[in-house]
Amino acid sequence: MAAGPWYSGSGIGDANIAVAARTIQIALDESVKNKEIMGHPVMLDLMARDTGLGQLMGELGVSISLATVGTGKLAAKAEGTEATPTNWSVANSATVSPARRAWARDVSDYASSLQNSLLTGELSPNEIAVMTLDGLGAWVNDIVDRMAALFASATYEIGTTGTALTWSPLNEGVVAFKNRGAGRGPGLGLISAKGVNDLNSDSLSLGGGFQFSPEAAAGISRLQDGAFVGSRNGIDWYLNSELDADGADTLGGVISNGSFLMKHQRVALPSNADMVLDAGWYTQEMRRPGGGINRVETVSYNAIGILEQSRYAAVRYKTA
Amino acid sequence: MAISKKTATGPAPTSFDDMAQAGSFDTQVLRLPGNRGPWTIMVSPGKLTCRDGRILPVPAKAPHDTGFSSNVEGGLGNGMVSDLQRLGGFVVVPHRRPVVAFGSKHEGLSNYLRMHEGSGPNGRGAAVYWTDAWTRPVMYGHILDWEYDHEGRDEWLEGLIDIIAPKGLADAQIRAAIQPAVSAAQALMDREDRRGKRLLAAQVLHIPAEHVPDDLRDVYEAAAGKGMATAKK
Repeated sequence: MAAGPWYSGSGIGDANIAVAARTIQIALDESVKNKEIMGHPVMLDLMARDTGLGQLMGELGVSISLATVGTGKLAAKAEGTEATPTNWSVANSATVSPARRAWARDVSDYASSLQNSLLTGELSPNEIAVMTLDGLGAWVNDIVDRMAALFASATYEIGTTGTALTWSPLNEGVVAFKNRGAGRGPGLGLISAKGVNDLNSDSLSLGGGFQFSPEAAAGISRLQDGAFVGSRNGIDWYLNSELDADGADTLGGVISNGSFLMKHQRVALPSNADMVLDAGWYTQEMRRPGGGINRVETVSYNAIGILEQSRYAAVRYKTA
Repeated sequence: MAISKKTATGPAPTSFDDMAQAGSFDTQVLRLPGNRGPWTIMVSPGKLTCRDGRILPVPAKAPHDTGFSSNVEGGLGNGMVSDLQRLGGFVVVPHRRPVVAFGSKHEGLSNYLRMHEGSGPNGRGAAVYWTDAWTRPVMYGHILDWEYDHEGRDEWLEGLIDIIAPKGLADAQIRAAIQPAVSAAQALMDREDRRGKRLLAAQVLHIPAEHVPDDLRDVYEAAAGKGMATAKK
């Protein structure tokens, strides 16, 4: 099969054969797991905060300072004695600067004419539907990939290096998470298949009440749940394939609201652009580079960084 | 499918020997997982671990790509570096720090990173993919696999202690490094199942011999005696 631009004889154009008409449907890819987390409350919170920051106006980034408020204690003071004012402090701050990120695909006019009628399901009715679905996937994959990359920059970790993930360090890590004050609201866990299998084997071999607990039962994976592999320790765990390695370890992660800061700048296409889509988070523009080709470029201006280290943790375990 | 007379033109071949020598595995294009940019390694005096009997800094990555933190084009990841300095007390490991990987000295744009150029997934497009120096690709036909020098990497990481603790590790740092492994081993010690015992033997050998707590000493010596791992001081 000839990979390449979508021409009549390459890319999706490979589906052209002389003997009979084919239909074309979308191929399964493990990156579909990325899309499954986008509706999780932690991701929605991340996007809501992003939107809530509004448009940049003359500045190149946004910064958030975290003020230490309500952490002091009253102290004994005799009547007639005034308390000495305590200084305010800003614990830390995060800045993110949206940057242009792009992804482009080509489709030839000839390929469209030959193949639009073959497109089925999510790909129908024409190449524009294919391009919009493709652009959405590229945008989601990029967000999740960069988020997962931040696990390698976490101050806090759950699990231990060079060993399989077991229930006990996970539990301790979650207690530490709660102890930092971050254990409120939803939790999203990203983990590889090896990590989930480690945890499940461990839960089932623990015996006693734990073996039969709802959490252990949740670990018995249900096919129809997709990437979601159950809630454990109050965290919704999803399989993910964007996780980085650190030497012989895999770095999954647990994220709670406020751990990351994301910022998109909505950049509207000018009136002379041939717009395919303006999804707010990204745009798609079609251009004619010549030679009977349409080029669709998906563009997003965004950045993601760490807002508060205490609100997330890497989940470390031996890769193999 | 038989070759038709129409395409089988020209003189009949007398030997196929030359064809067998035409290809070389050295010229094979790497089929990389996609694009991945470089990063700067940073270490923190408060982020340590113990592995195979060694206390090691846990490296953090500060990606150079724009779209991370306040990184800007050509800024070599300064935005992310600055965040990690401020948020976690991390310090930069210079890219020129000497590196030995796979038994030989590695030098490049960054001594501790490698840049690989090839095609993207399934042979599509061009891709540039960075790994650390202790990771290198190998192709088996169309299958990409990676080779790792974990031992070399750990030796290099151990050397980074001179950045985060030039006068030697403080007790608090040692406690922070070994506590997760000790806690995990202690939890496993109470288990009766075979899996628990197997995991315990593997877990306890990560703790440096001189820091093994009394309640784990017997387990440690039994595991080290069986040679289940290369426990080093």
